[in-house]
Amino acid sequence: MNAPHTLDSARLGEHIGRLMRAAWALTGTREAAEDLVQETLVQVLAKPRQVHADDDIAYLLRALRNTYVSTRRSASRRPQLAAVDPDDLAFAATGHAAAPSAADVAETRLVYAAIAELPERFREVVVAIDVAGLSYRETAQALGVREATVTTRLFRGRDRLARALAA
Amino acid sequence: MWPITKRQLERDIARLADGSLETAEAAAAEARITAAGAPWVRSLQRQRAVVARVHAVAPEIPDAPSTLASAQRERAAGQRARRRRGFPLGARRPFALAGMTAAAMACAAVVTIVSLVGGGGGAGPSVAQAAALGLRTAQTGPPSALAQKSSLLALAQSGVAFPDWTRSFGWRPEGSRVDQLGGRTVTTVFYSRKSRTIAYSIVGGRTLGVPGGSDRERYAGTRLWVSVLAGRAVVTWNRLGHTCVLSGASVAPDALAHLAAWHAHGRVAF
Repeated sequence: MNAPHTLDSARLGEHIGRLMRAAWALTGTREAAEDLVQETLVQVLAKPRQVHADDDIAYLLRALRNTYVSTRRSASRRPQLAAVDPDDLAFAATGHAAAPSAADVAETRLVYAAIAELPERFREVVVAIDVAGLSYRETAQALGVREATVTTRLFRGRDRLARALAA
Repeated sequence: MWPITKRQLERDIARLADGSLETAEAAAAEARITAAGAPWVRSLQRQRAVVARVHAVAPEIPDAPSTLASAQRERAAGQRARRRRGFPLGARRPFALAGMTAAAMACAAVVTIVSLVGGGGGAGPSVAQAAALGLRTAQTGPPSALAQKSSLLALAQSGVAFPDWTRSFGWRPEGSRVDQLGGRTVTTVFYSRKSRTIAYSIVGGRTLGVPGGSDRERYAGTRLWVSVLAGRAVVTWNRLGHTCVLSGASVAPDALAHLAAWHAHGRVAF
């Protein structure tokens, strides 16, 4: 068993890309994903936790998921400040590299929107493994379930996703 | 030998689809699936296809680190300021004051780190270019108010909502437009009052460089840069890590600065 250590804030930058992708697939929009990641990091930094070596991303994904759940729960009690800007997706994907084609942008929107529509228990594992790139073990730790449960949910989540994308 | 259960086959397929099994295990799993029949083989093909599709679209977010760090710092500072003034946190969940201070300090560390990870800034349009969008015409009608007495409009760029100045200052939203400028999305809202029009632009992505020749001022606790470009007063400042540009002709720079720094008792987030 690895020795526990306090989450190293100096290494958080390494995980932001994966967290952003996971947040995007969870929320369905880049704008909401950015807010979710910010909220998660602020909370993680405010209360640094003991984690086991190499478990940082699993811990962060769990924090992201918890923040997402609590944010969504309270969303109905407050006004929504941000309107979704469809151009943001193109901007994010473009960055400083070559611009993606309209078809690429449309495909990204389609796939991420379909993931965001999955039932929560399936969406969580698809996001963790196929989007954020966590292992089955890390995902099980992040979600607090058995690895066998992760695998079963992943199969069913992908199956639903395949059907949704084929529709 | 025990019969293979449906659940076992599902797990085999899940792991085969993303290649997480070792070679020997994968061969055994594939044999089990083949023996189980054509529907299971098709299921594996379907899962492999969907995994490949998800991996293929995974978007790169090259400027996310600096954008996030910057917004994080601004947000933490804004929340602390609002808490000091005793205003509600609005859209944000409350944190313990000590926690927020620790967060702000830690965020500063992250800013440094992600700057190294994310590379240097500076790319993007100039403030003058963003201000020039204010000379164009609106593409859409006026955005509606977010809610009664909310002090915000139901329109935002990168999560930063435009203010509603109608009740407090008489500047009514007349229309809006969205432009791509130097690789950035810029949303502009036009406000009018007594036949004068001003334009409020919020630039997506990281903050822009300070415009040359502008005067730095602090107005109602907000740091602003004020300049005059082609006869138009231009005020620039940051909200939640994004550059805002307010410009107009026949409007005094002080008047624009007053509008720019308006917090609406903490409801307009900075």
